[in-house]
Amino acid sequence: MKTKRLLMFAIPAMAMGSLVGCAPKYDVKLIIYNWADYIFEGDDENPKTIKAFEQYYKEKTGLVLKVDYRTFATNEIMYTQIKEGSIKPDLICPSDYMIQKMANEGMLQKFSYNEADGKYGESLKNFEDYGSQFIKEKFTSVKLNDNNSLLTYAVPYFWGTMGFTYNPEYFTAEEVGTWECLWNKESKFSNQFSLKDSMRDTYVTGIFHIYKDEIAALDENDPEYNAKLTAIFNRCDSETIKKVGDALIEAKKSTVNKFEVDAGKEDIVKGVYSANLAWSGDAIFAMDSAEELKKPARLNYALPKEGSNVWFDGWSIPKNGNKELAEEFVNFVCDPENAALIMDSVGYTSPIVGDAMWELVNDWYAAEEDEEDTYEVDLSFYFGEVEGGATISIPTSERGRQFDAQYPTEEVLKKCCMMNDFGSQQKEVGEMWARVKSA
Amino acid sequence: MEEVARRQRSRFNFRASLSIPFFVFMVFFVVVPLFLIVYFSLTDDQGHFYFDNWRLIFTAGDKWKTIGLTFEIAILTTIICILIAYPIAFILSNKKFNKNKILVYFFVLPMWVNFVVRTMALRDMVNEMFENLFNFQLTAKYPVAGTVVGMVYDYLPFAILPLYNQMLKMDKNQIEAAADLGANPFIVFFKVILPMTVPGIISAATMTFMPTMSSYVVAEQMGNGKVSIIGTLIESYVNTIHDKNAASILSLVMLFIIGISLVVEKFFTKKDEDRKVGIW
Repeated sequence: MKTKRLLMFAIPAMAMGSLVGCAPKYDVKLIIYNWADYIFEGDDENPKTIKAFEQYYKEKTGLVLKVDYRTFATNEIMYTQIKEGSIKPDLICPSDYMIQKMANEGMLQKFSYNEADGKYGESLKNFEDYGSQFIKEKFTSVKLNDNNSLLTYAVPYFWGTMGFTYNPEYFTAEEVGTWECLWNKESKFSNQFSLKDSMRDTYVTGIFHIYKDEIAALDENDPEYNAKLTAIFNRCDSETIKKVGDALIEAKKSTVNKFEVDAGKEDIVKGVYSANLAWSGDAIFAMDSAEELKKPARLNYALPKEGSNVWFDGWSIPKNGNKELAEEFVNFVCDPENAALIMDSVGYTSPIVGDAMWELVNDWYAAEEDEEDTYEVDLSFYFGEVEGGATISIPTSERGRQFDAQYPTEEVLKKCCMMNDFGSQQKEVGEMWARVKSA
Repeated sequence: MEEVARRQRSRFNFRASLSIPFFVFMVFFVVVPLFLIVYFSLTDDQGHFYFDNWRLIFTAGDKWKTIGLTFEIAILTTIICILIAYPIAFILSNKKFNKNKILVYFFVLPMWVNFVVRTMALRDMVNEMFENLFNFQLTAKYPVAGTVVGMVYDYLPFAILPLYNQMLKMDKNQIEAAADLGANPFIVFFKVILPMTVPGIISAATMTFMPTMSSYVVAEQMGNGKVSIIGTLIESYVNTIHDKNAASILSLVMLFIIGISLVVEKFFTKKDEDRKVGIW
């Protein structure tokens, strides 16, 4: 009897022991904390990025690497978890304003980047070689408290803009081509828009409304144009906050159908409302699914003419992260072949350029040879030197659609500003947001 | 003798020890979180003591507006729920219509479906209906009305069941006697049936009032994110504004209101017992 009982315990214990024994041993471990659905998950021909990297690392160093890949839902949740130490990743992928906040609070390590000559070290050679010059300039324009630029603390991973996904059968491109549509009193506009239930993004729409005269007065040919626009864009003094609050309350009572963060890209396809404030990647997702479902078959994407937000997500290394290993991974995903695979599955725009990338973009969007009605887009500002020149011709019927959402022109991007963290004004903006929600 | 006494003592100890898991559970999942909420409400995000949050919350007009709206919605929902539930419960308690209690199951059945899914389905259905009939979406144009509709739909079973239970216990002889003695149906209802169901009405009212006070999903879904009640305000303080200290204060306010409503319920049921309105 006794032996039997002993066996009952012993067998599962032994089984568990052997299971543990069978678990793959590894020499090094890399914890990556990224957004959900933000990496290539593998297909018939190619292994998933994580597996490919483990393979690559083994070939390079002979060491067995284990990547622990985890995902988060919002910047703020990720920030709180790292701050409170409940997760200790080696590599994270926050958005621009969050990188800024974390770097200023001393939560990040520097990359091997030389601020003086603006070059990355050997360990990040792929980004040095294939990173778009345009994106690098955008990043160096943001200075942190320690006088370093954002590139010191982050390597860009994806970027996009914010505009309206809209139903072209209901609204014309002109009607939603301005932020003023949110304050249009005509009955056609009533309850036809959704805004983000995220105060940092929706705040921006109010800024463009209350300072519309000041923005219109800016000279677009001024080389300082973007810097001046960005200064207005990031204003958050008490008076501005109050005015933005009043403007948002006014919009809420007339044009806004809904505040949402993730339901919008489905609602717009279902036709719940006719325009959805969306990030470009979500817009591409909505346009694709509308085409598949043929309901309403076509959706377009418009960036308001006053300007908008251009956002970036970048790799950063938290304090105490394994810098050497993290840089190795970042360098790996910056390889154009790998970056193309990831971009193909994610849908946002990669800052990596190079022939493999250019080929992919042509493959997706370029008009057929015999297509007559086309328009030319010069992307040399973004792609630099590529085989056959960086000009692409797109069918005119595709204007305002996926390609335009993914690769805005230089003209458009000149009007797109990067967000700053609200800093010490955070609480006041929060109170304003509570006031808007309760109005 | 000593043997017996020892055994008794040890048995007593064993019984007492059965409550340990419950006690531990209560401490970890009720008492400690409550203290944390109180602690957060008295500190700022750096963990220093900070009492200004309390002042800020209660000097801003919008918080009072939110609390007021929460009350309005909760009271309106409770009244509508009872008005609808009362005749339904009355019919259900009549054995002629409700053989084998099958009809009761029909009213409880929706509760088997996930709450969020049910609310979203209701939202789409109501909007579709209003779009076709009146050419606007209820939840977009009148988000508060949409929220009340959603709350009534979701909490109706909570009003029906206590009323139904109470009505089953009603003494049918008294109703018949009143009618035999010449009372018309109105008098029978107001003088006989209604007094007998008062405890049911009170428990139905608390069963709907308390969850509507603390509800969050319904307002979010049926109000298109445009209705601010205490539940949604706490959610935006946690998820959008990232101020758990202010959220804690609001949680305490909500707790306080729910506590008050419990006291009120106790007060009413006590009074009923004293006056001996019940017949059992």
